[in-house]
Amino acid sequence: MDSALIAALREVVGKAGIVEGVSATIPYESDGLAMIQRRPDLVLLPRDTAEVSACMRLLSKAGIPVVARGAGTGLAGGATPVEGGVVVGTARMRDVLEVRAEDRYARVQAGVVNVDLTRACAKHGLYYAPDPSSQAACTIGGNVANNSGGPHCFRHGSTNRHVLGLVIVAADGEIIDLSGPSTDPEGYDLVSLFCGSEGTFGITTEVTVQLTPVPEVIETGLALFSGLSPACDSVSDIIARGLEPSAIEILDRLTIEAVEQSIFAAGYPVDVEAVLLVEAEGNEVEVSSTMAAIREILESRGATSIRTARDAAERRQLWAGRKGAFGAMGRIAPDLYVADAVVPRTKLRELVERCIEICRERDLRLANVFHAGDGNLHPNICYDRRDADEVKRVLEAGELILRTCVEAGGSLTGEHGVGLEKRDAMDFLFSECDLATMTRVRRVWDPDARLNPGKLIPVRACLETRTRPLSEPGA
Amino acid sequence: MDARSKFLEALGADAVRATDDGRPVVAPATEEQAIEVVRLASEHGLRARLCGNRTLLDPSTPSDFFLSSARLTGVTDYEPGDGTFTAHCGTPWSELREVTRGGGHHLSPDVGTERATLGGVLGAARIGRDRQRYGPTRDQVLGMRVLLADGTVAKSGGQLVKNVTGYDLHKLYTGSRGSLCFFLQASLRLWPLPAERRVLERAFPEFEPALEAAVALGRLPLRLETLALRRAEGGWALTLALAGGESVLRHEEAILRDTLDGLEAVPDADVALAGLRACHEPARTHAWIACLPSQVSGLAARLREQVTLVHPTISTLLVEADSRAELEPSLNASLAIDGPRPTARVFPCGPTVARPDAPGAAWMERLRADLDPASLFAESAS
Repeated sequence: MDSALIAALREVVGKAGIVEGVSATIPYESDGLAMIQRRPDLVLLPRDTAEVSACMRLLSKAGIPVVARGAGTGLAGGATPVEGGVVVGTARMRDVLEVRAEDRYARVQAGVVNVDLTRACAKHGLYYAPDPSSQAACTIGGNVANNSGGPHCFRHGSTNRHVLGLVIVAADGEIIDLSGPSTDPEGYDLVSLFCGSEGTFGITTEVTVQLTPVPEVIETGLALFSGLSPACDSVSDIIARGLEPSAIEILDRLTIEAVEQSIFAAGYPVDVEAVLLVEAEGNEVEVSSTMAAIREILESRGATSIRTARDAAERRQLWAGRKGAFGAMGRIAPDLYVADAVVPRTKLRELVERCIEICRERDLRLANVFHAGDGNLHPNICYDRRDADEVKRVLEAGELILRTCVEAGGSLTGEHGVGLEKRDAMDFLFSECDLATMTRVRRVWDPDARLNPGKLIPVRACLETRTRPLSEPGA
Repeated sequence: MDARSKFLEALGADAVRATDDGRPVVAPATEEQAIEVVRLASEHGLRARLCGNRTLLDPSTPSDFFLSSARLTGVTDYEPGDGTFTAHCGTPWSELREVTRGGGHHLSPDVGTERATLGGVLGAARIGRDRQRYGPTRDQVLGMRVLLADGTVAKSGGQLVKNVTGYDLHKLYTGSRGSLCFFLQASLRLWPLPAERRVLERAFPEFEPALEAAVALGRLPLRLETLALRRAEGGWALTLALAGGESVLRHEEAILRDTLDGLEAVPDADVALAGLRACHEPARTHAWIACLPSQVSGLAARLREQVTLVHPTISTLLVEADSRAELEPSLNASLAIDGPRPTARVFPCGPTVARPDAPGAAWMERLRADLDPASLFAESAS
């Protein structure tokens, strides 16, 4: 990269805001999709909107590709750098700018960590509802980019439903102030459009979010099953009965074993095939009637044991196991391929069974932990990236799982985003016209195609030739 | 050959009607016919005003013809076990409500106009009496299939309650008032139909005590369907709609009565709910003004004479007047209030979607111009 440009960027962000050189940029080579790694030419860590804008102006003039990055916890390669490009990270943008308890909103810089936002408003009896499993590390800006979910999105909805405003820096450095806060935007809903755009429209620098009152009563139940299928069936029954718990999660045996061997040990019995974690919130009567109806369903589906967390400490422990499950998988294999398909909730059982079959046929170890209430599957394939043949089988299984889910009326991703990982699978779901329309909208925001290039929408070369992923280890 | 004749020739008499002002309403019965209409319009430089049954459309908006989805009707996929459905956008909202109720679901927004279509409700991003519990219209929309001005048919999203695959273009289209694309099909999420509903009311001669009481009730840990203040004979009526099982309703009603004296149960909840729906759809020119909770009182004080309805918990006010010109001072007054700028959405839908100084207006115009470069559907976004 041109040294004059680097000097100009250093002038903007200061010494603390620039990361250069091979060893220093290694941590930025990938996000949670470690299968694909690329080194950026430079990493910028601006401190606020004005610095992001100034950097983007310089990079725009020089025609340099830009990849935005929050904490790098994404699992789909959305923050994988582009060779010859710059990563703009929000790690130094961690100020909670405003908490307005009376109006139940907060305004934060994009780099604020999800759980820190909830901590910042806890004294007001409020919290930030979207709770991705990575909430101890992931940032609000990253959540916006991916329209992230989490277990409690079953009741509260994904990130988009909680965003009341954004400050965005466009590809050319223009600052677009949509900070609101607004529950009912005038004109087109640009904020909702921007949520989930995976860094291809601009860089979020500030987010205004809605805060939710802490529920009066929370009850967390743990049901044990001797098979994964009856656990899935009980979830379909809960949905069909119109019950409204706040979260319904399932973990299978391999996941339970991993969790219980890890620092996230939650006290799940290791001799069962599945645990179902269900939580209800609201007022006392609402919670007790919901949980009574759910208990009835769980019993009818053959749950071998159903118990309720005795207190807040035990509830936290049960959730720590669930949220730490991905991390705990490190005890099973060095690498984890996390799929994120969504399926109609009437078809949970058949598709979970099919995922198991697909992995068994390829001699792969599969651990299932998923947001069952939303039909959001996470078939986690354990592998070792040093084994080229295994990597090949993992990719094949991943693609087949996605294809199967789409054919059953499902979708590619419920909360992780498309990124690089599922980019070429977009064809399973969308026609050329659908993708071309998305590309048109993308070009409005980023006419020079410099923002997170090669992500989300399949890359077309001349004659519409489909390209393969830029990097496929073992291929 | 005039516009009407062109469409008559291409689509037949069933698809073309004349309006009072002579402009034809063209209502294709299939997607192919809709594509043909757009092709003809483009070829002959005819400007289309997109609509459903024109229930919330400003008739003075310039156009050469109306392109209506009213004959594109029917539910294509309703999966009760999943709580989602897909339907053609001309399907009457009342029909969708009945069909989904039969499957044990509540359809939100709970709007009442019998003639309103699915596409019309989404295009206008209507506010229903139940928004407090189920959220805004955009949150109900899971996916859409639309026709663009260049004849492209494109979908976004799907029929799943959770899905982040691709851009949420359907969120851009929701509330776009026919300025971006013609809605063909939409998929929505549904909510469990409550076992029972109760409506409680209390009259207040003055607004401020009514608002104070409503705010206090809004802070209670209850999942109310409606908490609204309506202008009524002799002052204001505070109306609450509760929804759920019998034991939950009994408990919630007791909490409400402990908090506020004088609440009366309305004997016929269905009649009361129909009345609530109706006052969300005034026949006169009106605007929904959204602000912060802390701004509601100040804003209502400025707009008092024109305010007819207030949702304190979602901090939204409805103002009414006999004409847009009469409403304008209220809209300007709302902008002058201290703190973050409130937003205002005016009905019936005119030629633009936002005021020129609305945040992001330039980007809205860029998006509109890209999707409809020949301005077939609208001249400008703001």
